[in-house]
Amino acid sequence: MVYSNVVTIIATIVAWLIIGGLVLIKHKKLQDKPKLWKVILIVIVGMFSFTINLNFQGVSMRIPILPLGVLLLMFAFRNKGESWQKYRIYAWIGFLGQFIFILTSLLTIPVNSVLYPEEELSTYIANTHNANIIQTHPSGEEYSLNKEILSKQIKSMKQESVYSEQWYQELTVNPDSTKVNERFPYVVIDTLPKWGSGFEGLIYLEKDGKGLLVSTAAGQYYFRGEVSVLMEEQR
Amino acid sequence: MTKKKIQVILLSGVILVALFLIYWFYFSKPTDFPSDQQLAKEINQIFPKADVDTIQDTIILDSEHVFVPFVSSNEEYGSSYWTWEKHKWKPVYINTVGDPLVWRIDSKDPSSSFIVWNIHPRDNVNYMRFYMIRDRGYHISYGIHTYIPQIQMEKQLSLKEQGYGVLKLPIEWGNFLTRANRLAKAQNPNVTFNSLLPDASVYIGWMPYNSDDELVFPENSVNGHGFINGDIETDFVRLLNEIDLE
Repeated sequence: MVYSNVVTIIATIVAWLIIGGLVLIKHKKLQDKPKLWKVILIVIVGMFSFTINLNFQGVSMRIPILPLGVLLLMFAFRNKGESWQKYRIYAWIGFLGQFIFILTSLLTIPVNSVLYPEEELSTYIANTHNANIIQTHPSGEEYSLNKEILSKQIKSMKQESVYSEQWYQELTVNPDSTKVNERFPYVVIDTLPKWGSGFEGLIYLEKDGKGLLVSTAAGQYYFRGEVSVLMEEQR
Repeated sequence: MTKKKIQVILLSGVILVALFLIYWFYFSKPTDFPSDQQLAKEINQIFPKADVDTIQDTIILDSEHVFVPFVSSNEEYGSSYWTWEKHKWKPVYINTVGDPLVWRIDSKDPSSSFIVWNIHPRDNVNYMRFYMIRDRGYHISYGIHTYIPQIQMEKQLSLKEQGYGVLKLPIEWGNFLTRANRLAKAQNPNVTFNSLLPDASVYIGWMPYNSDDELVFPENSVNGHGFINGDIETDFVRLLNEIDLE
């Protein structure tokens, strides 16, 4: 959905905390305590594995197929059978860590859809304090943005379908008129998305001032409101 | 004991000298820009075809980038691009003509780019229009629709006083580009982009007009010989026709 935002960062931190927690628990139980820095090194090497990348619902994950790190350590310890008994568990904790990362990544999906619903405009526009529009096509008028109206409509604007082919055809099949009207001749700038959403994208404004086309890495969302956010240029 | 101390001191000395040299070579602040004679001499040494006769101007774009238009002894109007690198001013690109080019002086910030040119007086260009364009499009994949609105932004400039000049990328263009680039990067997080416009469908074009408002073909300002002498990031500026616009 979104590649790097607050939720994915927290998920990564939580995964590391769980791994660290497992290591500490194991470490405390043992009477003959192995050196901590060795343990940490072994855990990290144990994480190293042959993985395949998979994309599920916009979340990219690395599924481990072969515990290369663990095998490497087994080979390194082949003549020191006794200490391998001590350290073995940490290597496997490292390998387990990869699965913990997958689990927390998967959990980001429902959390993201609750915190940053992609079908709601408020995810993409939360603050209009410095908002403005730039005209990106000559068929627009020299209007400016009415921030108050935009701000008031954020909650009420409804998501509608994007008819990409239809909109494209409507405009290009017009050979005799020299002036082509672009449906979205403005881009909204300097709005702030919901904090932590990680939204990066373009927000186009429709010619009548009532439609917003939000382009994100995950797809496009089109919202329509009742009142135009355009107003005559204030001089 | 003392032997070891001497070794430590020597080693730190060597490291310090090395660090100083690295700083001096790569990071030191520019010295004065060379005089016109020195500029002409250096260009002619590196690229004799440029045949510089007179340096027209030295236009400072930022503390490490200078645009120098010139006239050759053959009355050709050329362009040279100077950068401060490795502790000297270097003409990283020289051309025997001056058709407009986008010079990306800061690859991390495309909105700080400049369009630079040196138009031949014989081409009778009275004013120019620059455009930033992205063609309309759409795609549908797995039932998900994406509509791509047409972008067409214009900037007009008069050439009455002199045929050479620079234009910092207009603020609105920079605004759009910055956001479009961030979106393109978010859509392709594993790709490194080498152009002003990671969104490859955006391009910059120009249209030169004479004093009768007619579109002209600037034959003396295009199809020259270029010479690359270092690292430079530029983007082509297309010559457009009325039919390319909406």
